[in-house]
Amino acid sequence: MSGRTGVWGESMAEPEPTAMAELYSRYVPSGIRLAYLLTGDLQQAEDLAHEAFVRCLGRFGHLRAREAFDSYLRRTIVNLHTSGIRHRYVERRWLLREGHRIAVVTASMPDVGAREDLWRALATLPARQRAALVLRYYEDLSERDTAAALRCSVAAVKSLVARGSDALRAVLVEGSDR
Amino acid sequence: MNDLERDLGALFREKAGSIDTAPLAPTKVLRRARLRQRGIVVAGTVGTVVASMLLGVAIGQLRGPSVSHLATAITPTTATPTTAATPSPSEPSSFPSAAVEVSSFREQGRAITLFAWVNEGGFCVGVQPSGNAFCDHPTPAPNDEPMVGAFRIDPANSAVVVFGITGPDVRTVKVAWPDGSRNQASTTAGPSPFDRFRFFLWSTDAPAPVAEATFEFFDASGRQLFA
Repeated sequence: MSGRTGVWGESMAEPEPTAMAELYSRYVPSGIRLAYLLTGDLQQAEDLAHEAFVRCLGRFGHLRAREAFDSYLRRTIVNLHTSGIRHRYVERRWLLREGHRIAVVTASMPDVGAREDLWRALATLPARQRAALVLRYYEDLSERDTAAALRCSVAAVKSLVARGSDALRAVLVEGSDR
Repeated sequence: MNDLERDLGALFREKAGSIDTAPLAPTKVLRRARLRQRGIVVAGTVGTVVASMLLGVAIGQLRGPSVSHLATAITPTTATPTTAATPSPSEPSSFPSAAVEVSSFREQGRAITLFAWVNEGGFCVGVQPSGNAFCDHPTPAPNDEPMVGAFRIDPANSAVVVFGITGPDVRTVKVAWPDGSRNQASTTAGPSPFDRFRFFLWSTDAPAPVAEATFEFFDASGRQLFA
């Protein structure tokens, strides 16, 4: 997510509708891409990015650094994703108990590209490990910025990345052995 | 950066580049954003108003304990004003002849007693000024008769604040100072959070270094109470 320069004036308390649309155009598409890497599902990614955008705009008047709107948006996307994972875990348990048919539909993942194995392996990671990897290697955030986005310590980020990488290697090795 | 990290970076870029994202904001999303903004503004305003009201009520109730200079006693006008450090409930008396003696204050910053209950019962004597309780037993007196206190907010100008709690029938309170120079208009006893209380707060608009104030209480029809 790039574009640190604001589309609003310094004295602007709340973005006007046109400024809202401009904010959307500037930041949400990259937010959708980030959400897609987190979720692996385009529809879900759009929903996630839109919800994050709505929430960030709602708090727009209270943002301390409005020029960092993209940071707020990114953090909101990540938090919505990780909290949504918890919600979906409960939902999935209910679906598994009540019937497989719906669960199969909701669990579908796109299969594209040459690195399909790695992509599939990523889908097996816990949400926070996957988020840490995406923020570090897609967003190119430092460990400190990643920690801020995930609301955890730098040490926790290191741990998440290390465990995520180990898990990916294990899955890939296991897959190559078959 | 090791191979896995490089592969991950390449994979992420490839995947992110493979999806089409519309740059134009859907109308539904913008409408939701505007609604949420308005909702937050409305909720914030309502919250502020409610908090202000609650704060006002709390300040009204805690006003007594926060003062630094207190009247030492409430005595009948017929009696000599007392300067007792810890006044005890006075002998039975009847309003409106109650008076507030405000001439004797303790040393700076040392409030001793908020107010003393004049009539029988004396249930509100000895309230701790440092505590949060406006009154130890915030229940109406047996006959719903008023209790009154006085204090100075600012020792520099000597203005006196008089406060009181009355029963539910009292609507108007008249306060008079003996020298006549500081007589004030009547004050209306306002409702309190408690059903059986009404509360009034009144202050002089000029220095009032003396002595006594006399109160008269009236109901809604103008009939004098406790006469």
